[in-house]
Amino acid sequence: MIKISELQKYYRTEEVETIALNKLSFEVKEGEFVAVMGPSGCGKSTLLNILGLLDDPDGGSFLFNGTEVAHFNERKRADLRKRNIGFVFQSFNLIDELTVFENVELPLIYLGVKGPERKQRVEVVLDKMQIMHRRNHYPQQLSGGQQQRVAVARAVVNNPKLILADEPTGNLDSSNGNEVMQLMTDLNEQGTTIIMVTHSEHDSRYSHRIIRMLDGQTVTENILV
Amino acid sequence: MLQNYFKTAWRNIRKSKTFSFINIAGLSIGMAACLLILQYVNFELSFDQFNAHKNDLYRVVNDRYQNGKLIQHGTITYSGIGKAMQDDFPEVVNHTRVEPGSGLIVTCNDKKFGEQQALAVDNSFLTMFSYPFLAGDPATALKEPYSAIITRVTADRYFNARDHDFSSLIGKTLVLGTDSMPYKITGICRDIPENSHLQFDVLISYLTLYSGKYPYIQSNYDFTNSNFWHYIQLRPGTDYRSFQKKFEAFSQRHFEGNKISGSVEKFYLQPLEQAHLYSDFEYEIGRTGSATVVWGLLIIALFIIVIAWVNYINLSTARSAERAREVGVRKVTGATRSQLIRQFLTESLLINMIALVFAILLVLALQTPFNALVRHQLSLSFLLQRSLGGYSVSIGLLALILTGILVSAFYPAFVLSSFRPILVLKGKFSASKKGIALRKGLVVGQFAITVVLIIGSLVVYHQMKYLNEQELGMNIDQILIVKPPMLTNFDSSFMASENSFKEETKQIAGIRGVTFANTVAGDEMSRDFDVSRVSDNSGNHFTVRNMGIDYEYLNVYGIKLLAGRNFTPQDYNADYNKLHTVILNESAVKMLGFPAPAAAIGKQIMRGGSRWDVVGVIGDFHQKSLRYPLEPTTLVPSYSTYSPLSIKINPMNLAATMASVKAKYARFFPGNLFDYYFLDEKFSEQYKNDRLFGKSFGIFAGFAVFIACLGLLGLALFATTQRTKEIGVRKVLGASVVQIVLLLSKDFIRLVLIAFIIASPPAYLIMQQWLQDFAYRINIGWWVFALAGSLAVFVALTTISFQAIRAALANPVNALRSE
Repeated sequence: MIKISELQKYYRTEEVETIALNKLSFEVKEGEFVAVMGPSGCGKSTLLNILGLLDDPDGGSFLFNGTEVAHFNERKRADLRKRNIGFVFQSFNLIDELTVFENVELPLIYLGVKGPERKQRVEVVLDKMQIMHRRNHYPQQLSGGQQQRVAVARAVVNNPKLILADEPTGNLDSSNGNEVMQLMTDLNEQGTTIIMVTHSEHDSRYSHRIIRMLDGQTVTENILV
Repeated sequence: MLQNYFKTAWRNIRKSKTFSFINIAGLSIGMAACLLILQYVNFELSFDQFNAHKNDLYRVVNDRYQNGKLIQHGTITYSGIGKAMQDDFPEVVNHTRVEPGSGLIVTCNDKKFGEQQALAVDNSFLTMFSYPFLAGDPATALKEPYSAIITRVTADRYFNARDHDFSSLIGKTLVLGTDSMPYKITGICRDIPENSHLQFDVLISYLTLYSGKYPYIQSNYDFTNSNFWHYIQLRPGTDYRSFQKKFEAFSQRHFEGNKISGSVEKFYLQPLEQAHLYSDFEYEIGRTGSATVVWGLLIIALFIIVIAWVNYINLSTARSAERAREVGVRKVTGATRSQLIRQFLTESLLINMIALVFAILLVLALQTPFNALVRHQLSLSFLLQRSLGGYSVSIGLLALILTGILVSAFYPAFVLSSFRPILVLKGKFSASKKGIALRKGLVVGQFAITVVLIIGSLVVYHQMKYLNEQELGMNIDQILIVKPPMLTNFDSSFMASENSFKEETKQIAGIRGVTFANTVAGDEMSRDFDVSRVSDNSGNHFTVRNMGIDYEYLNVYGIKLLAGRNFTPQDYNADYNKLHTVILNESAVKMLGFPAPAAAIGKQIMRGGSRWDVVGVIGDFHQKSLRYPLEPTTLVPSYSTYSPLSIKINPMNLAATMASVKAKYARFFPGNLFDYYFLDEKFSEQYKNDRLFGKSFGIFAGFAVFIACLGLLGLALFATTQRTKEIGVRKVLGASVVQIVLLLSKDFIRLVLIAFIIASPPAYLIMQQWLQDFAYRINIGWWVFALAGSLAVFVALTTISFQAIRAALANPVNALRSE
């Protein structure tokens, strides 16, 4: 599903150039659950940006379902992103001004799904995440675990092929964290490919494979399954 | 999608109450000020637009030169000019002469109506101008002498004929002034629009002037007497600028240099559309406004609204950090940049629309005081009126609002939509240096504008104060002007009865003096164009102003006699040709070349072809506003039924005093209407445009300062929030409240000072230019700038410290704990 080869990314300020990704290469097959681990500053987030089509690489190749997307323009990237990729973040990143229902609905709006269908799809996914009773609440009225369930609901509502999760349990206690990881596992079992950046060895054990990074490069790959 | 945009926008507005209030309040006030000013601007620009032939109608204006010096710059010229132009040039397809008669008394059905405005015009006037008829035939209505056309409202006044069958009034008669022949009504026209520079109650046929028992021969076709107004109609498509180049030869042909009229004549055409706003001419016939006021206010309106929009840009981008996370989330959930831009545009549109609604409510609330300020009955509907350049103001307003909304919305939308989502979502967002520099630049721009407005207001205020404090050379306080007894015949007994009336009136308690003169302060005096010293053989002829006065005039007005004597009763004679004594003012003494006032006494001057003995010299006095310089003036001992009465009174018991005067007036001048006004009020009317400019400048500069301060308050609020931790740390380390306030204020104060430095030179140049219109003007001193700068810093500091002190007083522990 994803094949990156020799991927490079630099960050330049006036005085220094930092190499974030240094000729990074790996492949993720459809249906895989991959954990990416490594110390802060090793390039995990940059990798996630590029994989999520939120940023351009400075060099190398990025094949998404066999299509070279490394140099897609903003419009094409956004189009590909909204149809295929869902995001889950450590800090949930729900929009405070929108209710649970409206937050989950957002990807469908940008996808151009009509109102009645949107309503139906959002309700199905809220039901699945067991937060239907909170549909009219605002994020700040929910617990951390509930907020992350909403974030997961938002990530999956448009049935993406790929979910990119950036430390999804980082802000949760262990019981809520486990619940979220179970949700991810369930999604993976239903066929969704998942790439998860994490610091948690515990969480990484839910994945099939762990890619360890250092200084913008892959250092090891552990296959768990 | 749109619904989602509006929903988010609305919730954001509600969430950030302070910023929304600042934005909406600033924009509402800015828009309201703009809408009010534009009503006035559009009204002033709409003058004479209703005329179907407006593009082809011109007023002939005439400059007269004597000894190479401009002696008259007037809307008046010679009675033969219009016909001569039509005869000489195929480009001229029509012309009309116009002769005004103001303050007339009209007698109709034995009822008298005072203060009536009449215009004597040729019949062609009716086809050239668009004053549609309700009854009568415009093709012939003014072809006979003693024909009159009245307006609908005049018909109502004279005949109680509102919504009447106006044709029944045709053939009825009225009497104008002391005319022995009655005028026959030949037409009724619609009421004159308020935005017509020509205003009248009655139109009479021009040929009446040179028909009848006492024909005024020079009013027909003459090149020696410059006393008539002319309008011409050019063939459609004629370029008047190139056409008027032919006037030099025209002048030479008809005036042979200065042989015919005693002066060299230069003619110009003034487009009808400019007659109202661009008249710096003497002897103005119409209702005039001031282009300076109109364009000045328009610029102020633009400034104010721009300041309000800049607030929006500043506050939106300053708060970008708060919105960045939302942008990030929307991006990762699939929003394209253009969708985000559309979302922020919607938000801006919503804020602007809410502001517009409040602005309209504000306009409705402020309309009455604003109308009192500009002295017109204006309303929002005036924005839609046709004016100069078609509907340029209405279209311009719409374009301005749309551009403002788009520009003020687009920049924040552009900035906010450009964030890198993952960085933002991980909380690594920081405000860009470019954004900060732009905000600083915009604050400097805003304050530069407000500093210009503050300096402008100070200069206008001081100039007006200066004008009011200047000695006029005469005392016009506590003087009442009573309208002249114009229905009384001037016969051998008139002078005696005026003298007796004065003597008796002086006996009334509260009356300090009574005098007659043919003009009063503020009115234009007539001119003599051929004055010279008898002993002067150089052939120099001079132009001087002239006034006919009685022997009480100098005393009542407190005019200083520098040499010789005042007039005595012996100087007067009912036969004007027998008068031979004259009093000169100091300027006339100098111009005629006498070495000193005393040297003129006993000498003779030539005036109107006869010799006059100089019996006295007086100090100069300002007959007109201080926009105009002092002029050489001669005073002659003459009486006239058109000379108003000046009464110096003690204003206590005014009603009783005036009742006694009225009784005497009725006894001495039966049949005349008794009407009076205070001279100082009328004199100050000359400054009405300046006062309007000054007041509106001050008021709207206040608006601008207020809106700019709102923006500054918002930025200060933002800055203190951003620096909460820093403030906490500094306080823990021992910083005092004053030090914290200074820390937070100094950046803003620096910006205001930069604005002051940038704004001062253009403000100086603009106001210096404005002052050029006054013959007597203040010097713009350094203190004006010092005061304006201090004011700007003061208001900025007050605004910021409101927020800074709050931040400085906060408990530092809270700030640090939140970290």
